[in-house]
Amino acid sequence: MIEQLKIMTSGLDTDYFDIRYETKQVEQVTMNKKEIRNCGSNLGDGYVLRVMKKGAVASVSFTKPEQAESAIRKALENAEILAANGTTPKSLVPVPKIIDSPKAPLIEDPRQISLTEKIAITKHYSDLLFAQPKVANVEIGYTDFFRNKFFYNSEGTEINEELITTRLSGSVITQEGTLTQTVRVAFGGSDGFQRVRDREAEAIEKAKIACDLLSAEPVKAGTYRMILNPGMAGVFTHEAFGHFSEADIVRDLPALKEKMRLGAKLGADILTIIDDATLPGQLGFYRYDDEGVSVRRVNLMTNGVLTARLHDRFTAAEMNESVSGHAIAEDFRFAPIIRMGNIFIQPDRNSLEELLSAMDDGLYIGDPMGGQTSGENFTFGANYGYLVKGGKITRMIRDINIVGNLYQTLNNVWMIGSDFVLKESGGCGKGQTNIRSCYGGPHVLFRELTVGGK
Amino acid sequence: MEHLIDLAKQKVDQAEVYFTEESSDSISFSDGKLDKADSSLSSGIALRVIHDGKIGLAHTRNLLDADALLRQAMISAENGLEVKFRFPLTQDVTKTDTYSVSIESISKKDLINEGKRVIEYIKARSEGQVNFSTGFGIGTRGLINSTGTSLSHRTSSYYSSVEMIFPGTGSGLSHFVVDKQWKALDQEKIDEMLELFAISRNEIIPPTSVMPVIIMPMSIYALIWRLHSAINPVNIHAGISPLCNRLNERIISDKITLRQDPLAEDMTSSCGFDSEGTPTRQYAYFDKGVFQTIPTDLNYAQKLNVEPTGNCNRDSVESMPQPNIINPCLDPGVKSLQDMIRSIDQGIIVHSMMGAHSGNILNGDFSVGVSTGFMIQKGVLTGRVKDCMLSGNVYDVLNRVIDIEDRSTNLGGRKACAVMLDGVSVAGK
Repeated sequence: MIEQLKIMTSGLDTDYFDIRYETKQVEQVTMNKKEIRNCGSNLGDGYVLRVMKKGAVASVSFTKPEQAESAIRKALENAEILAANGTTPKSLVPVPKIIDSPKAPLIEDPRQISLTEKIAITKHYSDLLFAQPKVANVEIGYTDFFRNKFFYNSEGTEINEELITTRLSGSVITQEGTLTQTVRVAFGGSDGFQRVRDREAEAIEKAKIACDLLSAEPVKAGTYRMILNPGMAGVFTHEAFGHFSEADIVRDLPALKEKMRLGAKLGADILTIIDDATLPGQLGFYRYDDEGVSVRRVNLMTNGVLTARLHDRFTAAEMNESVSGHAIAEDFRFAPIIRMGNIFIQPDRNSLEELLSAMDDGLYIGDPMGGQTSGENFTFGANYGYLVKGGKITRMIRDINIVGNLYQTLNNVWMIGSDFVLKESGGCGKGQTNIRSCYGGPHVLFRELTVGGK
Repeated sequence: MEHLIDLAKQKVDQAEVYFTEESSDSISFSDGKLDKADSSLSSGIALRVIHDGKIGLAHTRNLLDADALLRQAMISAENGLEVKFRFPLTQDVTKTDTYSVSIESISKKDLINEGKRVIEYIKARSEGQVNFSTGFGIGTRGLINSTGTSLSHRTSSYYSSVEMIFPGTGSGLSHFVVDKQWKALDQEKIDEMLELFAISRNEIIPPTSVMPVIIMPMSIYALIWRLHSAINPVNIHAGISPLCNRLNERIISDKITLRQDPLAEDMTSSCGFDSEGTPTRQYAYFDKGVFQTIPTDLNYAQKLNVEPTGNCNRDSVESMPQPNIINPCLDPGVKSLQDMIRSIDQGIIVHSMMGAHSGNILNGDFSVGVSTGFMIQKGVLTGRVKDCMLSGNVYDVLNRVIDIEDRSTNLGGRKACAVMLDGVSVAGK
């Protein structure tokens, strides 16, 4: 395939170009109300070409090889018009030339598992969840994604990397009268099909939460001491802080650029935040990004001080910082943008019991349910939580929406747990969907967080 | 395409081919500077088959091997959903004129000049960051089935959007236009943005209390979304919607009529047929607050024993066909936005929200942060609200509608008006 990409781009008159061809094979089983809604296997493919000429960068995506000629024409035309109309000239940070073909590190290859078995396991979890008290519906699906990426650039880098993602995810919905409650279930990862096996106990635990939520009391709005569980702490890290570590976002919001200056003390002394896509076995694992750059671990915040950010080759050059290998595309339809790989707060030494006891009275917040940021302000929904009195977990609460300001919250981190849990199913939607966006961390105690609402 | 149907007819009881062909070009300015110019050319084919009463789906971007695609669809059908419907024979559909030849002569130079013009106009009158993006596209989608239906539909589209960011934040004000051909941004709206931007310098944390709130067209969808989730036939069939068995009942204020207009020539998703070939039509989901119609595809129409309404949607060839609303439109009321503002002694006007997708949506609950909103005091906008949240339940607040704006804003895939609600819980200081 790389040879075909070379032929397609031969004679291209640019300062730089790269081209990516990808196939994406998706096998899935979707169930709702005990019925299979959809199942089967499908293959999609396409090309993305990026060119740089006279300091201007343009991209074109196309589906068929016979469109290559007109795609190249469009890309050059786009670059010419940018250059002629005063775009700020761009340059690339130099990176080593790479020739490599990494395979996905799999324990149990989902491509070797029959569709029949995938249907059986989806039905199994659907039936199991339906058998739990007060369950009115189960929407659940199994999917595996096999991306086979071929990358070639004008500097001679040739990479063929495979990424395989396995996922079993859905919602369990309980009902009493007209009141319904929904809890999400998700298992999966980048290292194989074994991730979705033998997870019955955890699935049942989620159904129990959905059942208990029917009689939980809505939380009272106000400001509380709060412990976020690893999932919720991960969402905070990803949404409120992580996106401002992405160089393209910082670059496009000059107002934040000054605040997010490297060396600025923005958080509590105990707070260290890392993005590490190289960590084996987790959902976000990859070797090379979609610019052919080897990904590395990045210490974004060290003891409260901003120490680095996530870059592609262009932003690293523009901001005169080190390239990190975080230019990621959803699939063959898109040019890459800067994405987190696997972001988390570094664990410290305290047990959950120690966190609860230090908090004394407050809230213990469970799994995330949607989050959004607008500048430095964020809001996150939580699926469930508990009132804590005198360090003891008491009644379940629901309808929790946490609001806050990033900088105040980073300084309100009080104690960090020693545990460490990473999310198994991603879905960051910054323009494109990144199903491998991984986050998590330890339990984290905050001095003060606000719950919105009545 | 015909070849694929012919091939399928030899092996399965029924077959349907859905295809798309699209091209698009876009340009953007970030902080006043030209930054990006990108293009896309794409196509795709989805094949559905029904065999022995079960349905299967397969798709591809590049039809290299028709036999392989058919094989995938048949494997999918072996384990697939049992269905009792037939792919329809649709011969006459309402023609919607959604293609403008003028789209073919738009040049990137024109787009850049429009961007420069708008940015210069704003920069001459205000501080702050200005972003601008614009683009155009041409698309064809169509459908052939073994019953004899053969339909195709061509659209052109143009959009342009300008945004001003409040200093030191990531939120701001925006205005955009969508059309089938080139269209200038509305000068009056840009002037309004400039006025609001000036007011935004004064920041106010509202008191925690219950007050009237005006929700602008861009944001009202956050509430209407909860209703859509409730009228979705998937949730009705599963018995988990709060609107189960409540057709023809008044659910929300009689001031609200929410309809769909899939034939509107100035909206982006208009087409005389849906993505499985059922003719589309105009009708109300809620007429004067009364729940009137469940938007269905063939599958859920059959399950719920109602006529299909032509509401089958596919976002792309890869998506599973699903029932969805098309071009929802909120009917205008009788009062101008200015009069609505003047009538408020203390309240908030909300331009954009965050967190609309969290909370118990099916139950109608919402708890949203106001990312762009203004305080109204004695009928006048006095400043931008900060650190403020709204919460409630749509079945409660949409029964307390005071007024609906007398003009509607075309947002491309939906039309909406500002809505003034009484007694909304506002959390501030």
